[in-house]
Amino acid sequence: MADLSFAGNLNFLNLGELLQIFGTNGSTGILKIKSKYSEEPGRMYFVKGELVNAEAGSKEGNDAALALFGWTEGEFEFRTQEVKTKNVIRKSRMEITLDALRLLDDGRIEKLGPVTYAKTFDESSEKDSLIPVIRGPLVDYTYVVEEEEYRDGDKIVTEGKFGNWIWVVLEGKVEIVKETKQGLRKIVRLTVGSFVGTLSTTMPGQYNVRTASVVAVGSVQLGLLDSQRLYSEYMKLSPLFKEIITSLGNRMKQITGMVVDVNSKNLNNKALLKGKKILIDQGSNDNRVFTITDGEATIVRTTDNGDLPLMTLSAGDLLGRIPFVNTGHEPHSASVYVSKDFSAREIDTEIIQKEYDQLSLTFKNMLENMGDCISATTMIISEFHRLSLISK
Amino acid sequence: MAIFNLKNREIECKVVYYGPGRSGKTTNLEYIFKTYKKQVTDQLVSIDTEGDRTLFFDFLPMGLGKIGGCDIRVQLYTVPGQVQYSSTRKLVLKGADGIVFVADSFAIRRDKNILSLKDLDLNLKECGLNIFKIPLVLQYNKRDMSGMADGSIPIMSVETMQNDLNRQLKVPYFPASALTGEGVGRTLKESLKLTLLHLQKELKWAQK
Repeated sequence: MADLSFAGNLNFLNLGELLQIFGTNGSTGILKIKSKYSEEPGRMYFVKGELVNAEAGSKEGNDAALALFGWTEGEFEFRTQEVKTKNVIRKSRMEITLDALRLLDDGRIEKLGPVTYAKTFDESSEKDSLIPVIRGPLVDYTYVVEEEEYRDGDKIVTEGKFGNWIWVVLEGKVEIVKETKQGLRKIVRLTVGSFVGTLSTTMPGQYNVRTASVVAVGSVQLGLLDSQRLYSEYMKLSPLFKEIITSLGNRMKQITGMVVDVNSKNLNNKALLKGKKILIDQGSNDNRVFTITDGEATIVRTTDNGDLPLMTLSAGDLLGRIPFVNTGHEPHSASVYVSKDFSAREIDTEIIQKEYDQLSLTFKNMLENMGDCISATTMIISEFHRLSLISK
Repeated sequence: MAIFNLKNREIECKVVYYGPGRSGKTTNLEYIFKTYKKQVTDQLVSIDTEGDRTLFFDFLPMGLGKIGGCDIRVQLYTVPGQVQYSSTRKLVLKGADGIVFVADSFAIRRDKNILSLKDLDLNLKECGLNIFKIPLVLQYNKRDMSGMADGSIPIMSVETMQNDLNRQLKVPYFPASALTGEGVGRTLKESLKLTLLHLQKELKWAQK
């Protein structure tokens, strides 16, 4: 077994930079790239600094090398060892790097990450539009109690009906749609690893009205999750962590509700923000997290087309950047305005991070997926907002 | 920042040709590749991007001497001008040791030159570099077109271009015609000279 020579995160050094480093160093060995969106790690084989072969999923050689440039998130490991693979790639490392980056910029290499886009026909505007497709982390099968098959067009969840079930997409795609005055609006598509239903919908004793419908696109296989087990895990959480989950669920619900509001003309920013002062500024590096104890807070995203109020939160809700969930809201991509009577308690993020680290894989995956869904839905709302301004 | 390759006792530095699309960056590099063939150690790599080409090759300049007992190897690059190729641009500009900005002398490209120079400033900042500090040379390309008697393609005077692009920078500039090769060698030489002087200075500073 060869020793580990060099390892790290692709956020810090991307594949193009790695290829240059191994090249100038004349390294011989195997580079392993791990992404949570692929079961098998990708591999690149180097002999004296030159790339000789690569593997990514079912791909090999040049195609695999190019595909790996789409793995922009993940971790790498380089082990110095003898390489016995065939020399399949005959292009120089710089040629491959430049070519791959060009293809990536042209959108011809698929990016392996949580959100991609698909073209779809939108009935309300009678035009093709792009909607986000959200992929989840690798499925943890230990929570799946039953596999269900659906055919194209089958309705899995109906908006306005009650339901406590929660699924994970095992194969295929489903579409989240919402009833608006202008007709059915497609919000996002969920694919492998994404969850249908949120953690807060699994809680028994609560009457959970589904906030949107879910329809199968093509044939779909869903895994029904063990809600008993999820529930007992939930009950063991600290009160603070339960608040986080409830508040994220609330955020999800409100942002889904915005799909209806964004099309109506009564988005009255001035009235909504009257008498409120700013707490967190969009784009700042404010890393504080609060629980609201009194008053209300409005989350506002500033876009090229003006301010777009996303939701109003009140006592019990959380504000700020929760370290392990990326909602795409404050502080980087939204501001928070608070009312005069607003008061809040600051939370120690280290404590919640520690509790998060103890969670089961499925719980972690659900939280991450929820953040991705909120983030993608917010983006699609900004887009609807832009379109509604154009049509005015 | 140049890479010191201790295995081969070589210093690798990177010179990037920047400028608006179709200003002649590629033609510059193709001319250099042809003319200095003996000193080129690698193949010319050409990547077709929409409307433009990105070129790359390794180059061993002769008679430049050694720095700290190491040979010097220069990598020459062009950058795709179009906005959407941000990944490529970032990779190429990251760690650039010297820049040649190729401006287009055609009067109709005046705004394009200014925009591209501003863009270079922004992109360098993103890579933690400063346009006023990095060794930079300007080239006013396509001067040969001024010879057209009928003046069918109006070109800008060198003074106008100086005023537009070099008022604050105050860096060396060369009128050139990449198509005929005029001025190409001089631009490269000046750029390499500045780049190596800069490297040497940094090296001394590091040794103190």
